[in-house]
Amino acid sequence: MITSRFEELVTTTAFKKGIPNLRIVYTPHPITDRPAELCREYVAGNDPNTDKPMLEEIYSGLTRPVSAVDAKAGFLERDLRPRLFPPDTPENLMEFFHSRGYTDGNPIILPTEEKVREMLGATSHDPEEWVGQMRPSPPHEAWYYTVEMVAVNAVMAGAKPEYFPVILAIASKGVTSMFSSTSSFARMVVVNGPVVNEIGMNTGIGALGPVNRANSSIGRCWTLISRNLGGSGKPGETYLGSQGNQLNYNNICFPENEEGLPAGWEPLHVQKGFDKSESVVSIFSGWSMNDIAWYSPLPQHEVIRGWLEHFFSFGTTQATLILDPIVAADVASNGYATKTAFTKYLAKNTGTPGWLYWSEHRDNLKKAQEGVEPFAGWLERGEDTVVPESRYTGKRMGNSSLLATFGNNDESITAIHVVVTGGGTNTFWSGGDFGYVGSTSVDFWR
Amino acid sequence: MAPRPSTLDGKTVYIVDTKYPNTKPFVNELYAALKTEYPETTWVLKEKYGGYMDDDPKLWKEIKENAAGAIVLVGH
Repeated sequence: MITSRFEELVTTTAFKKGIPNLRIVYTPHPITDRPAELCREYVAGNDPNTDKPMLEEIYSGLTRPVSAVDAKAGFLERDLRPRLFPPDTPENLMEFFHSRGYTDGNPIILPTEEKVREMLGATSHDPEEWVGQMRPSPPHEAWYYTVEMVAVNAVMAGAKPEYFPVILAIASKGVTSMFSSTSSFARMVVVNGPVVNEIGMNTGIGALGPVNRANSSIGRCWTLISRNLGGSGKPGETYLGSQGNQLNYNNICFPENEEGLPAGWEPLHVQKGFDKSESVVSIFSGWSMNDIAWYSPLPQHEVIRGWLEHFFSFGTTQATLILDPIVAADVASNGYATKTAFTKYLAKNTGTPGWLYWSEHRDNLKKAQEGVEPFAGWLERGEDTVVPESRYTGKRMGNSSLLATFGNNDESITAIHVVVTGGGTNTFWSGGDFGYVGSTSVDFWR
Repeated sequence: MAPRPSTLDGKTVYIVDTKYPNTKPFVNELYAALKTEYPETTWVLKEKYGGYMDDDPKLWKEIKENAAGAIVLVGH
C-alpha cells in the first residue's frame, strides 16, 4: 500500500524490480499527521486511484489467481546510450541535450571528442576504467560509470581539465547530489590540500558564491554526473523532492581556507585521517544553511551556541558550521584551541527547545507526566522551556532516526562539524543541518 | 508473483508497518478494519526493522514460513 501521489514511482519501481504487475492499493495522500478518525474514513472508503473499496481491493489482491501476465518477471532491459551522437549544429545539439534531460536547464559546453580527450589528459587513469556506482536512493538500481563518462560531464559543466581529478574523486564516492527523497536533500563538498591552490579554487572573499570557475563548475559537474551517470533527477520517478532544492545546482562546493585556520585548528581532511600534504574531497549531506552575523556584546562562540540550541530544520540532530576566518579566530581566542574543543563545547552546552524535545520523546513526556525525574523537573519548567539535553551528541532522536541513515556520526565525537572559509570582510558564518558522509583522495585520480 | 490462496479464511496475513513518521494512526485503523471485516483471517501487525529503507530479511523469512500473504505499507 502506498499513498496515491506515488503511483508513477511505485509502478516504475515494481517494473524495475521485475514485478511489473505487483498488486498495489492506494490510500489518499498524505496520511502522515492525519488523525485516527480521518484514517478510519480513508480505510472505509475507496482507493482514490481506482475508485474501488479499499478493503475489498486488498482482499482481492491477496486472493485473485495469478495470471500468466502477473507471473511474468525478469530483468529490465535498457537501450544502450550511444557513445557518439550524429553531427548537427551547436544550437540543435544544445536543444537535443536539454530535451533528453542531460542538463540542469542551463547551457552546457558540448562534449565533443576533442574536448573530452583534452579532459582525459588530466588523469593517468584509463578512459574505460570503472570509477564507481551511484543510485538515486537505496531502493533504486545502481548505475556504473567510467572515467570517460565522467569526463563527458566535466566538459559539459564547464570544468577545466586540471579540475578533473577532483571531479573523479567526487564521482568515486558514489553519492548522488540529487538524493531521491520527498525532503529535497542538498549536498556539500569541501576540498582540502594542495590541489586547492593548484587549480585556483577560491578560499577568500565570496568562496561560497558564484565568482570562481573551479568552485562553480566542479560543484555543477556533480549534479550532471548524478543525472546522467547516476540515474537521478527525473521528477516523480528518480527525484521526489517536493519543492526541490536550489543548492542542487552546484552543491555548496568550496575549499577550506587552510591559511585562515587559527593555530592548532586542523584542516578538515587532517581531522579525517589524511596527511596535510594530501588533496582530499569531503562530502556532506543535509538540507539547508543559515547565513549569519550577529552584532552583540556576546563572543562568537556564545552566539553560535545560542543559534544551535534553537536551530530547526528537517535535520535536527546534526550540524555543520562554516566559519569565516575572523569568526574562527574569535572562537579560538576564547579558549577553543582545536575544532574538536569547540564542537565538544557546543554539544555539551546546547539544550533542546521544549516543544521539539517533548514532541520527539513521547516516552519521556509520559514519564514526566508520571513524575519520573529528571523529566518531571524539566516539564515543570514549562513545555516550551529549553530541556538541558543536547541534540548534537551523535545519538538518534525520536522519529528522526531515519535521518541518521544518510550519513554522519560514524566517527565524530559530536554530530557537529566545523569548516573555515571566506575572506574576512565580516564576522559572518553559515550554519546548517549538514552531516558528514565521507572523504576520499584526489591524488589517486591524478 | 507468488500463487494466491482462493480464500483467506483460516489463513494468516501479516501487515508490515514500514514506520514512516506519524503514519501509525492509519496503520492501526487498517489493522482494526481488516480484523472486523475478515474475522476468519488471523491478521498479524508487525513493525519492520530499522527505517523504511532498511531491508528486513528475518521478517520476510518469518512471513514466508507463517503466512499466506502480506500487506506492506506505507508512506507519506
